[in-house]
Amino acid sequence: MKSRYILTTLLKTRDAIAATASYTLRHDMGYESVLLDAKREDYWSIELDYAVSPGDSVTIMTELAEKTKVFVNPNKHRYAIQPEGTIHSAPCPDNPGSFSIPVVISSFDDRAGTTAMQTLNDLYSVGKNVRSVQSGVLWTLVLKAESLDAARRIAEDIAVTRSRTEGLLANPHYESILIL
Amino acid sequence: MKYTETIPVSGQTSDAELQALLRKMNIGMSPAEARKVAGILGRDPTRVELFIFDIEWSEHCSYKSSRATLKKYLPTDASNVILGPSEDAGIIKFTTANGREYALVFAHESHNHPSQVLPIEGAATGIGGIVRDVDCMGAHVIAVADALRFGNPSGKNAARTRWIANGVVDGIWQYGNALGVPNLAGDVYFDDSFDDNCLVNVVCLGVVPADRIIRSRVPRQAAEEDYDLILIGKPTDGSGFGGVTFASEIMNDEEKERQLGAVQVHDPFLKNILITRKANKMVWDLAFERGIPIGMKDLGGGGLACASSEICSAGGFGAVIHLDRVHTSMPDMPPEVIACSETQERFIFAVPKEFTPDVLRIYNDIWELPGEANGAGASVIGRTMKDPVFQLLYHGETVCEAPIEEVTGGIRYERQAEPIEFKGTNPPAGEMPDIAGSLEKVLFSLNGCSRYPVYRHYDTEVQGMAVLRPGESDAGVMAPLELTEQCPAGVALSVDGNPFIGEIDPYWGGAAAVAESMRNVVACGAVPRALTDCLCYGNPEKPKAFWQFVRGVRGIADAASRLWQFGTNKEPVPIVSGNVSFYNESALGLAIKPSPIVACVGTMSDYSTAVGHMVTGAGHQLLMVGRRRDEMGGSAYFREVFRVTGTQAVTIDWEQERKDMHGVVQVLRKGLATACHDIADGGCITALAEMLFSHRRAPIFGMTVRLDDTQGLPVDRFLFTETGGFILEIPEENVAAAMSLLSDNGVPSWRIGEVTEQSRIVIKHKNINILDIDIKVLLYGWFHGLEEASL
Amino acid sequence: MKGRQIRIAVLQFPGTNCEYETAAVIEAAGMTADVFRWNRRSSELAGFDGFVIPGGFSYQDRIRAGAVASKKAICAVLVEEAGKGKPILGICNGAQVLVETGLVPGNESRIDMALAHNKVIGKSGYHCDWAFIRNETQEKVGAFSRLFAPNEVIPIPVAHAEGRFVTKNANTLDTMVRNGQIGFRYCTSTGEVLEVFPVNPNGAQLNLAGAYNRAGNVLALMPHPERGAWNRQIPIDLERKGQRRLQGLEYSRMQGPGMKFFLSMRDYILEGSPVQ
Repeated sequence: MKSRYILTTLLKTRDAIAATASYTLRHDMGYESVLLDAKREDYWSIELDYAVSPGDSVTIMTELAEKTKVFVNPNKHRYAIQPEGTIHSAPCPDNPGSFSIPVVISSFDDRAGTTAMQTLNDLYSVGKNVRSVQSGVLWTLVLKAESLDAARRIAEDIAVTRSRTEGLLANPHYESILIL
Repeated sequence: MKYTETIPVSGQTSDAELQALLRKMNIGMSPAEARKVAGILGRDPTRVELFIFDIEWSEHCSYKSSRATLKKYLPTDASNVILGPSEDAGIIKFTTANGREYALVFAHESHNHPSQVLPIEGAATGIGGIVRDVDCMGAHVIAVADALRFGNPSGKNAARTRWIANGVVDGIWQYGNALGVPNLAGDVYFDDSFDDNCLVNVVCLGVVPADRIIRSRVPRQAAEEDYDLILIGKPTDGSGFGGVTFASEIMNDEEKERQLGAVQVHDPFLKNILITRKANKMVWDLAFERGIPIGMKDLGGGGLACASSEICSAGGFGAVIHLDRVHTSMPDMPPEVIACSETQERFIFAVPKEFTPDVLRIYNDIWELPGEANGAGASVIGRTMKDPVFQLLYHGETVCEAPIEEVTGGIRYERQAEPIEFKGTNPPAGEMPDIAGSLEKVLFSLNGCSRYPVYRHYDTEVQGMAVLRPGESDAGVMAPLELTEQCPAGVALSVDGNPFIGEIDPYWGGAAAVAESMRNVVACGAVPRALTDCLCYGNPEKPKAFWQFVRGVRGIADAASRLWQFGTNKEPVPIVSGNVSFYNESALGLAIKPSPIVACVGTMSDYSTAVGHMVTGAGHQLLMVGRRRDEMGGSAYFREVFRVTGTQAVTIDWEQERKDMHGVVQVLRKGLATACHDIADGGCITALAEMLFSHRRAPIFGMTVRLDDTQGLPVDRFLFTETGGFILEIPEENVAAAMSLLSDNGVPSWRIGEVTEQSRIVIKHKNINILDIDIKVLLYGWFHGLEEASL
Repeated sequence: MKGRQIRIAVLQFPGTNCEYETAAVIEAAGMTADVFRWNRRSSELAGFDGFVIPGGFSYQDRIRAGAVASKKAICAVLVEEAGKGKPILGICNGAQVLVETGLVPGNESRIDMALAHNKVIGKSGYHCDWAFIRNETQEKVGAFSRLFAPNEVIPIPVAHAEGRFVTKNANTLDTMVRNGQIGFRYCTSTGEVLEVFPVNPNGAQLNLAGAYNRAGNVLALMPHPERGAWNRQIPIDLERKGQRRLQGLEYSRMQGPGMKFFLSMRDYILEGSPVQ
C-alpha cells in the first residue's frame, strides 16, 4: 500500500534560478550543445499515516496542496501530485536523441521539511494525517545523449559538484543527489 | 488592424452596458470616466488608451481622493528643502564635506495589498520599488526601513497571519540584503484589524552631492537636439499588469485569484547590477563628466506608460514610443501589456541621441545584462518631441495618441467626510493591579516584546556606515560620508505609527506618529529635518473612512508645523515625500485601524555625539523629561492588563513638546548624557526597563527609581501612561549642567533614579518597593515574545 | 619591496555588494584597491599583489552561494595566482566562492567542503549580528593572521544565510587541524569555544569561522572584518562598559580589530615570501 506521495510545485513565472543554472552550464561549463532545457521545481515527499485509506490519500494530498499555506501558493505555483516512484528518466518522445532526466537534490539537514511538518502539526487539522515531510529541489534536465544511461551519467556530472569545472547543482558535502 | 480599433464608449451605450464592457476588458474605471476619456480625445479611445487612462486615473497614480486634502494641509516647504513631493523622492540639504554640498533623498511607500496575497514577493517588490525611487534621483542608496502591521497570530486567521508575517520578513531580507542596502529602522504591530489587510510600509534614504541630482524630467536641451528614450532593466513581461488597480481595490478571495497578473516578481540580483554604484552610476558619471543633461525615472505603478509620459510631460515635451522596440520576455505581447505591465527592475532615461551608444554599451556589453541577467538590457524605445502629444506605436500603427498633459493630469474627486464617535470602555475605577505582573504583561506581549527575531534577519552592516542599529538606539544612525569623505556628519532614521491611538482619535493618531518619529531621532542626538508619510486607511468612498483620513492628515500637518525645526525661525519639519494607501478593507467591509505611518530623518554634525538607549554606568542619574498625563486610551497597559481600549488617547502639548525636544537635543549635543530613550508604548516604566536590555550580553546594570512625586497621578498611571517624553542617563557630574540647560530652555525635568550595579529594577514609591525584579526574568520573556507569531 | 605601491584587486561579480567599503579599508591599510569587474580581461589580474573577494550575493546565491561565480573564467586565473603564493581573502560570499572554487581547503582541485545553510535556534534564514572569533594560528602563519596574538579574541559581524562550514569526509578536518589551516573559530567574548547558538552563529563544524588553504595564503572567512575596521562600527553593548560614545570622534575614527586582517595582508606582501 502506497503511503508516500510526491507534491511538486512549479513557478508560474519564469524561474530565474533555472535560467541562471542553464546559462552557467551552457555558457561557462561547456554544455552548450548538450543541455537543451533545465526546469526546477520544489519537491515535497509526503508520507501519509498508515490509517489513511488509498481512496482518501488523494483527497488529503489535495487538501494539503490547496488548503494549507505550507506547500503551494496558487498565485505563483502550479502543482502536481503523484505517488512515489512515478517520476523517471525517459527519452523525450518528440525529440529523438534527447532524454529527460529528473534529479532530486535535498540537504542532509532538511530544515524546510521539518518546518513544514511542524507548521502542519501546529496549525492545520489535516496535519494529523501526515507522518513525515521531506523537501528538496527537483531538476528536470533535458539532455542530448547517445543513450538513456549516457544521459543519466551526464546528469550526474552536472549535479554533483566535484571541482571548479565539474558539477553545479549540488554540493555533496551537505546535499544528497538522486537521479530518478 | 485590431489594435487601432476603438472601443465604443460614446454614443448610445447605456451605463450598465458600458460598465459590463469595461469589466469584460478588465478595466476598473467607471462609465463616466470612460466617457471623459472619449471627451478628451474627441473620439472613442483605443483599447491601449483606455488601459492607460485607467491606470493614470487610479487612486494610486492620481491620488484622486486624497490630493486636495494633502495639498490643503501638509507643510512641504522649508529652507532646507531642495525638492518637495513632486517627483519620485524628496530631497533636503544635508551637509558640506570637502567643499561639496551633499543632500539626502527620502521616499516612503506601501505595498500592502500585494503582500497579503504573496508575502515574499509583495514585500520584496516593496523594497525594490522604493529603492528605485531614491536611486533615480542620482543618489547612492544608504538605508531602508520597514513598518509592518500584521493580524493576530493567535486569532481566527492564525495560520494565514503567521504565513504572511514570516513571508513578509523573508521578502524584506531576501531583497534588501541581496541588493546591499542596510535596513536600519522599523516597527511591527499586531492587531486583528490587519487580519485581512497587512501593511508593509517601506522607507528609503539616499545621499547625493547636490550638484549631481538627476531629475525625473526631460531636460530643456531636448528642445534643441534629439533626445532618445531608453528603457533599461528587466525584459517586460505580463507581471503586474493591472497592479495599480489592484492596489486601489478591496479584495475578496475570488478577486485575489483573478488578480494573478497583478503579481510582481522581484529580482534583487538585477537591481544590484543597476543601482549599487554599478551600471546606473556609470551613466551618471559619464554624463556629468561630459556635461550632458539627462533625465531619468523609475518604472513603478503604471509601468512604461506612466513613467514615459510623466518624464516627458514634466519637461514640457511629448513622446513617440515604439512598443515593439521594448525588450520583452516573450514575443508578440499585446501593446496594452507592454505599455502598462509593472515588470520590476526597470528605469527610463532621456538622453541626447549622441550619448545613446554609450548608455547601451554600459548595460548590454560592460555589464552583460542580456546574458548574465536573463534577457535584461537597454533598448532605445522612442524619442521625445516638442509637440505635447503622447504617441505609442505598435508595428507602425498608432495605438495611442493623446495630449500628454491629459495623460498625466489625473482626475479629482471630492469625497465626503463624516465623523465617527469612538465608543471605548475604561477599566473599573480604583483598581490597581500589581506592578510587576503588569510590566511583564506589557513587555512580553506581541506588541511590547523585542523585535530582534525580525531585525536579526536584516543586514544592518552592509556598506559599513552603521553607527547605531535597531536594539541599540531609538533610531538607526549612520555616518554616510565618513568612509570616503572623512566627514563625521551623521544621519538618523526612524519610522513610526501607533495604530491604537488612531483608532480612538485619528487626529492624534497622525500627530502622535509625527511626534514619535521625531522623538526617536532626537533621542539619538539628531535634529529632525524632514518627514515622509504613508497614509493607510479604508475605503475613501465611505465618508467615515475618509473622515479618518482627513483627521489624520490634519494631525500630521499640525505636528510638522508646531514641532518646528530646531534652530530655525519656526520652519516646519517639511513633509517631502509620501504615499496614500486606501481601500485597506476586507471583503466584509472591515477596515484596518487608521494607520498614518511617518518616517523622520534627522541630521547631526558629528555622529560620535549620538547616544544609544542602553544605560552605560552604575551611579549615573536618570532624568525624566515630559510631564505625565492621564491619557491611557490605546495604551499597552489598558490593552494587555485590562483588555480595554480606554477613551482618551495620547495628546500633545505643542509648545511644551517642542521645548522638550529642542532641550534634549541640546543636552545630547553638549555630550552631557550617556544614553537616552523616548517614552512611548508601555510608558516610562517600559522605557526604563528597555534601557537595561541588550541581546548581546547578560544584564550588567540595574536601576533604582524613586517615585516621590507622581505628578498627581495614581502610581500605575504615572508609570504606564504613554504621554511622550524622554529618559536621559546622565553622569552625576553633568546632572546640574543638564538640568539647568533644560530649565533655561523651559523644559522641566525630574531626577527619578539612578543606575546600579545589581541587575535588578527596583521602583520605590514613598520608600516602599512597588517593584523589585531580576532583569533576567524580564529580558527572557521580552526576548521570546514573538514566538507567538512563529517569528 | 618597501616603498612600492601594493595593488590589491577587489573582485566584483554581479550581485557583489561590499566592494566599496572593502576597498576603503584596503586603502586605509596602506594599499591601493582596484574594484575589478568579473568580465575584465583576466590576464590583467597577474599585475596585482593580492586579491579580495568581497561579500554580497554574487548571482543572488542562485543554486547555492558562490556556486555560479566560481565557474566564471576569472576564478581559473585566481587559482593560478594563488599557486604563486599571492594572498587571497574571501569574505562571506567571497569565502563561499573560494570553497566552491576548491581553493579552500585546497586539495588539488577537489571541492572538499561546503558552506551550508545556517543551523540556528528560531526562524531559519539570514542571520546578521556581531560575534566573536578566536585566532587559532601560530605566530607568523597565515597571510591574514600575522598581527593577531595567538588565541586573540576578535569582535566581528556575521551576516549570512549559508555560512556553516561542513565536510562529509571525516579526515578533511583532521588534516586541516594538522596543517594549521584552522584560521578562526567562533567563541564567547572571553574566548571560550562553545557550539551553542548564537556563539556559533551558523552551526559550523569545529566552530569554524575562517579556513586557510594548505599554504596559508588563501583565507575563506565568513565574518566581515571590513565592517569592524573602525571603532565607530562596533555596537555599544559589545564592550562591557559601552563607553564608546563618551570618547568622542577621535576614538570613533581609530582603527578597529577588523583592520588587522588587512594590515597582516600588507605585511605578508611586503615580506615577499609565501608562508611555510
